[in-house]
Amino acid sequence: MAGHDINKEIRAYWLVFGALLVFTGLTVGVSYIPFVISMSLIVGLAVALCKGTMVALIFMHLKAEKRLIYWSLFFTVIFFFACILLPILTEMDQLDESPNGGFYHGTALPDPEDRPSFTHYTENRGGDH
Amino acid sequence: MSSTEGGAHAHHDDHHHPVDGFMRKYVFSVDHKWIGIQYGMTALIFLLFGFGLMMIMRWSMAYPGVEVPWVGQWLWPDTGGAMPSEAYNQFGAMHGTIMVFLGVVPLAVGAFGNYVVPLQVGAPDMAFPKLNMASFWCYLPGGVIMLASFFLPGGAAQSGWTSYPPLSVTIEATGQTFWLIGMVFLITSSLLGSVNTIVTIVQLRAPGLTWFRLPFFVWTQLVTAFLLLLAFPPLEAAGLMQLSDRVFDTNFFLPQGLMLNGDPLNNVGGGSALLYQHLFWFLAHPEVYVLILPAIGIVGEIIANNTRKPLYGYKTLIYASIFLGFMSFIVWAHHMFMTGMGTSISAFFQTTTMIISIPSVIILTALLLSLWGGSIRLTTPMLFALSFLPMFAIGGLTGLPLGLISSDIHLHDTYYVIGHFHYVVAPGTLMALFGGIYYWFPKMTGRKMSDVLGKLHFWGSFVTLNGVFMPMFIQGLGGVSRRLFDGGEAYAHAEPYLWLNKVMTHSAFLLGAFQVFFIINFFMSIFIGRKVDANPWKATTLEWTDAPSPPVGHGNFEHTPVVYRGPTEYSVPGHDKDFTPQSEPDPAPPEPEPEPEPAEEPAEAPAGAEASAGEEK
Amino acid sequence: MQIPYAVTERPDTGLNNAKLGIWLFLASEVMLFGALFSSYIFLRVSAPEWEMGVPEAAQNPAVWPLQFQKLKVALACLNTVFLIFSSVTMVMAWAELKRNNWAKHKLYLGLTIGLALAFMVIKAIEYGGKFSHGDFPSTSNFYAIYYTMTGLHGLHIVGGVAVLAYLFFFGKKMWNTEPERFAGRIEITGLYWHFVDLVWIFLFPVLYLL
Repeated sequence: MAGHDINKEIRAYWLVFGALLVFTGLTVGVSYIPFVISMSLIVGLAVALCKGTMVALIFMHLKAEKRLIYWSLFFTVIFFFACILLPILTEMDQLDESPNGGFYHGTALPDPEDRPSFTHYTENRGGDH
Repeated sequence: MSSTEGGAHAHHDDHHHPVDGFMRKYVFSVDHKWIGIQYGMTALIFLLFGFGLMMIMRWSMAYPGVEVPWVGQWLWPDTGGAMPSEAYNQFGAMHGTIMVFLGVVPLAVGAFGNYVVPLQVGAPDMAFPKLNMASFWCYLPGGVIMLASFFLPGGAAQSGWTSYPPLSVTIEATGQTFWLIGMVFLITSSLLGSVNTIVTIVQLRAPGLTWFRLPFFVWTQLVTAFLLLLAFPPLEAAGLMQLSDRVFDTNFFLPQGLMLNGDPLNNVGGGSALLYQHLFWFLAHPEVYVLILPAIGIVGEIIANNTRKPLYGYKTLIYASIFLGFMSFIVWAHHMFMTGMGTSISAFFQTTTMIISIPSVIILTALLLSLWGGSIRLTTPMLFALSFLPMFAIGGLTGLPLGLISSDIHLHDTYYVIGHFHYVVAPGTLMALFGGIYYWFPKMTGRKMSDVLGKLHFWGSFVTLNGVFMPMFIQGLGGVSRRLFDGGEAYAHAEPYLWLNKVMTHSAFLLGAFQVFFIINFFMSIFIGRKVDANPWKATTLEWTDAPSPPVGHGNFEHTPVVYRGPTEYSVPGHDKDFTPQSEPDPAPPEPEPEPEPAEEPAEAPAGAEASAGEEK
Repeated sequence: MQIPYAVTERPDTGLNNAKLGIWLFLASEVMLFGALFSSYIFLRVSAPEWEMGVPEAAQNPAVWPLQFQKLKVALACLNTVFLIFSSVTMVMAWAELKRNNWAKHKLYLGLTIGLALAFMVIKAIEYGGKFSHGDFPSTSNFYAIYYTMTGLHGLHIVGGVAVLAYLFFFGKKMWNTEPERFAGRIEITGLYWHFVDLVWIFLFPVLYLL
């Protein structure tokens, strides 16, 4: 980090600061648009990802960082996604056929008729354990 | 024993080092060697305690309802000295927790990792000595908190070492809360330690010690540290959430509609017990590779040394270990095959589980092939290392029916599972760790442990370990469930296998008796063991060739070692010794040498090592 | 006895020990907050959503509420601005050290601490408001995960403030004797601080806006 570069870096820092404020405004503004939830999710996370990338690359100097750091973060990101995705996938792919595609944790709102009864559960499992 | 001319004289600079007081030197030491010993002694004591818990459990399984000898009347006067089922649950949960988190991992990673890794990479200490001290001082209070839970109202944790909700959330025992608090301390200790290990290995390697000249033990510690670093945090999150469920009445893991003791719980609900299982097993599966990898590394060191041959497939071993570490993150739900997951996602986890068996087999095969053509010395450490191979093989092979869903349906939560994982950890890892203690004891103390007592300890342990754990497979295949305080007596289908409980219990007591030889040997040898020089095993790695026994108090080495070759250069053709130390330079060419330059750049390695340091990525 | 590469960079890796150490620590923090985000997703998709016009839903704590109705978006927005601002003042504090400007460095460091404290004050107002309405972690899983995630994040802020305060009040001595090492400490602390900001950048939309 040579002396004359630091002023250029400082300019970058303030530019990123401005950009982050703009993106924050954007993310709040967009949240008022009545998207369907999946769209809101994508837009919201996309904006957050942009902000996060700017912070990581510029504020945290990741742009100039060494390969070792990149590789450690690369594997971290893979495991991060495994930790997020795989549990949800196990919930979406269940053995029994309760309503709500397996997302059923005894919440009260579905109609009592739609809730699998206790005998129904044991019938599916082949009787006693 | 010191290395080449011109080694850095950095260690002689601080002659005015103040004398450390007792607290600074022995209690809050920042010296990795002493911290390693602290970890080792503490872990061995916890292992002994966990063993004691198990002995009482085994008594109850072989002789249910019968007064437990010596301690029964004192512990449980109300039942006439017989072990009540609640106590069995507590002992069971704590045995597992103590052995895994307070015993084996601190010994394998905290003790061996801390003591040996800086020496093997030629470093004066770990990268962050104060952090190392903090790490130990998170572990010890965490362990004490866990043990203290036995004396709290309601007793210790009693929901299995896995602490599954809803039981672990709804049970009133204060010990269950303390278990969670203890886990937070232990996880913190682990995280600090793993950062330290990785930075030490990456940054503090001696000049010339390139990645593929590192001892295999160091590689396994590196992979282990990454597993601990990235896998523990989800359990920390789960622990905090379960603590919140217990203390703040949240419902992270409690669905609606629960009944407790016949009455509806009337909780807010909306939570999921499976969420906890995912977060727990996300850690706990990599954790079992944390249990095995350092042991594999130790076995590699001992085998190479005692066959007087390089390790077979050194690079393959490394790549297999890395691949194993990576895969370990995406197999965890094979512990959850019976939770109702659908066929597609289950097939995914079954596939990854089958794939992960490949690197394990590669590692075991490479270690086995390392014996071929070797000049085998049956020293005490070698006996332990050799026994690891078939024991780990049994443990690993018995994992396959558990990783395949169709057979797991019948074997899940039976004694087969207990047999499987104990084979890997007890006749497997623990034997390797004992071998490591016998192997590195001379480096720590300058004395050897007694071979007679050592071999007695070995043979007795080896036979009785198999006596304890082999029958478990038979019981499991017969359908005997785990976690039964009476050993299955209440179940008709277990009746033909009950006699095996007695076999196992008596083997366990004998196993305990043989450990006395080790304890006597260990302490006796510290004072009157045969004195040896710095390299009694004639090994090639830096801790043996460049550091005295014990190593220099501050800085380990008199001169920073410089490395010229790989870690297992034994029996190299054309050399007069059957081992060539890593730090021994190549012989000078026969041409007349130019006048050696007396003035070296201070604190930097000589030119030969710099070239090899510069060639790596 | 000196640990090599504590301040100077090791030639082949290009890093000093502390920098590698902090990045590894941050990797583990990614997994920690990742597990909490995973739990959030898990809990939310398994709960029935609040549908407008379904009266019992409003009373049923197992139903996932419309988050922006339960939480004060404006306050959180203000907090986001505070944290972003503190991130740039943090990196400026380091940059001013590179420019050898102690006074400006202290100014920026002080600003960072001040903004962090402002964040905590707003947080306290938020929490206080909720507690007085009777909305505790035990009220519903939404509140449980909200308090847990923002609470853990808040604890990280407090930890960061402690370190920043130590550097602010006691930094001059090391700056005078070992300036490289002190600049390294500011840089490392900055990395941690930016990470805390990064977590909030994701927390804010997920908890307040979605």
